Amino acid sequence: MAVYVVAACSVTAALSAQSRLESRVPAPVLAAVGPTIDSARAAGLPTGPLEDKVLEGVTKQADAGRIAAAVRRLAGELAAAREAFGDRATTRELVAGAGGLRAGLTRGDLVRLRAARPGQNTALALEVATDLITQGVPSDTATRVVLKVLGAGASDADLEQLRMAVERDIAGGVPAAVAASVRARVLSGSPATTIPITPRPQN
Amino acid sequence: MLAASTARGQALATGDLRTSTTTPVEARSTLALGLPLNRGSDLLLKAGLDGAGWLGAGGPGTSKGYAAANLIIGLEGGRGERCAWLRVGTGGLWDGLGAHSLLLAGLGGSMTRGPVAIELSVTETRLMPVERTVTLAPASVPIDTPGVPPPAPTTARQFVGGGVWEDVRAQLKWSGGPIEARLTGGVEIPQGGGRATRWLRTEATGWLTPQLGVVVGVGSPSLPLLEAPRLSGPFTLGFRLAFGRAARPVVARPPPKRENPSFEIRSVSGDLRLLRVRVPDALRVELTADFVDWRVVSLVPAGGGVWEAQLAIGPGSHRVSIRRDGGPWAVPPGLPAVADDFTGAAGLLRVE
Repeated sequence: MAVYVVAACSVTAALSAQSRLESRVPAPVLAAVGPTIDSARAAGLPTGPLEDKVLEGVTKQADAGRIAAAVRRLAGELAAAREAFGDRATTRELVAGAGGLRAGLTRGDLVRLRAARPGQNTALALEVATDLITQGVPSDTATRVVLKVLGAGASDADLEQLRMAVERDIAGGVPAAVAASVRARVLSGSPATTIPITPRPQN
Repeated sequence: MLAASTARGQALATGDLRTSTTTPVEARSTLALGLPLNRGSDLLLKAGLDGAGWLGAGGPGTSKGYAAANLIIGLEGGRGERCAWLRVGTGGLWDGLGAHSLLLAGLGGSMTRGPVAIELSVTETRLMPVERTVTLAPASVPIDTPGVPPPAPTTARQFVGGGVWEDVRAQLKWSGGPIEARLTGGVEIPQGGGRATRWLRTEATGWLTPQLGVVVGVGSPSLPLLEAPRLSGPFTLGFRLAFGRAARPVVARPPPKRENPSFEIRSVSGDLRLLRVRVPDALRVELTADFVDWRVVSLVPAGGGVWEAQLAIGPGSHRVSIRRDGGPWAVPPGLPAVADDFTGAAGLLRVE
């Protein structure tokens, strides 16, 4: 019975995704991305992010080949993230992991970040590490900084504050790697998990 | 000397205060201001002031100072990871001989890849000689010849200490966490003959706070004209200060003005937010983003070149692109850029 329910859910999801794309995506693009999305679905990967990528490509008027390549690449990154996180990973974690891989994190980085927060959602930690890289922090430093913060028992709010503090430090003239390292060092040197935050400049 | 790569942002001030084994006090400061020549252009103009002073322990000639104003025009690519520039400068140098006028002209380039940055530059330094009056000994005339007055000493003008040098240098910089290491070396070649000065210096900076660092260095005793007294101690120890808006490694774009931001997002109620973007002179502005399911949303003109829309945007990081007048999709002004599979780059919007 359970098998039938799961199968029925899968079919419903597939039909829903198909209708979401069919109403907005030209047939040549659908034909180009269909096999990749079907394979991802069969492998148990979330197809929503892949459909988002298709819609983005269509809106940005990319050709079918380019959209298909982008979708294949994202599917590969999602698969790599799931290998690192395991089957219980949430869609948000997988998307964050894929984004991290794209930004320069390694699969080993993903495993270490996941292990630093056992039993909890790792998505925000991954997003913060990816944001730090986007702001110019070298990927190994970004991983080290987030691991250090997690090691000090930081909460999601602490991670958000770390991200904002580093962003403000960089905007204030501090080299990205220095800002991230100093913030992490301050945190790890404190018995509490409160990160000192520079007051936000008033507009 | 103002190094283009050390001026990381639009307005940046740095200062070094050091001591070495032969120069008890060595002070150096740099102030740089970068301006874009055109909106959205990679062609940038930067003006800078720099100066240095050395108080040597070896008497006259081991102390000197200089100050120069520089104008740099640069072309950058890869979001500041590559840059080429031309620069001219003028100033003065004070040494044991007096005050010299100074002219600088040069070109250079830099490339940044991850934590490593390489910079190459060639600079011609033209030092005007100092004019001074010297007293010449009288000709040999017997002073006791009756009826012949003793000869008066004669004076003459003499020009000393000028010259032209070509300074070719390379710098390799590595940043890892709060540590920065630099290896700088080059050769200074005097025009019209003379011995070239080859030099090498390595230094490491440990940043104690974002603005204050401790510098230790070691280098060859011979250094270029504007680096130190010609002969400096091999070991240096000091502090480095950095202030300013440092956004780019070479010549950076101006920061968004806070009083007139290019991109704004305000909470209206719940996830409903007012998004405003400044796109002057546009007839039509459209937006697409993950939070609108990658549909095209037309923004409404709000006056003063500002376009806006109220949209449901949840917390988190979002990717956004806009286009004006049906043109190509681009990064909204005021948002950091992230890689994009289709248009090269998209804007990254963080919503708290």
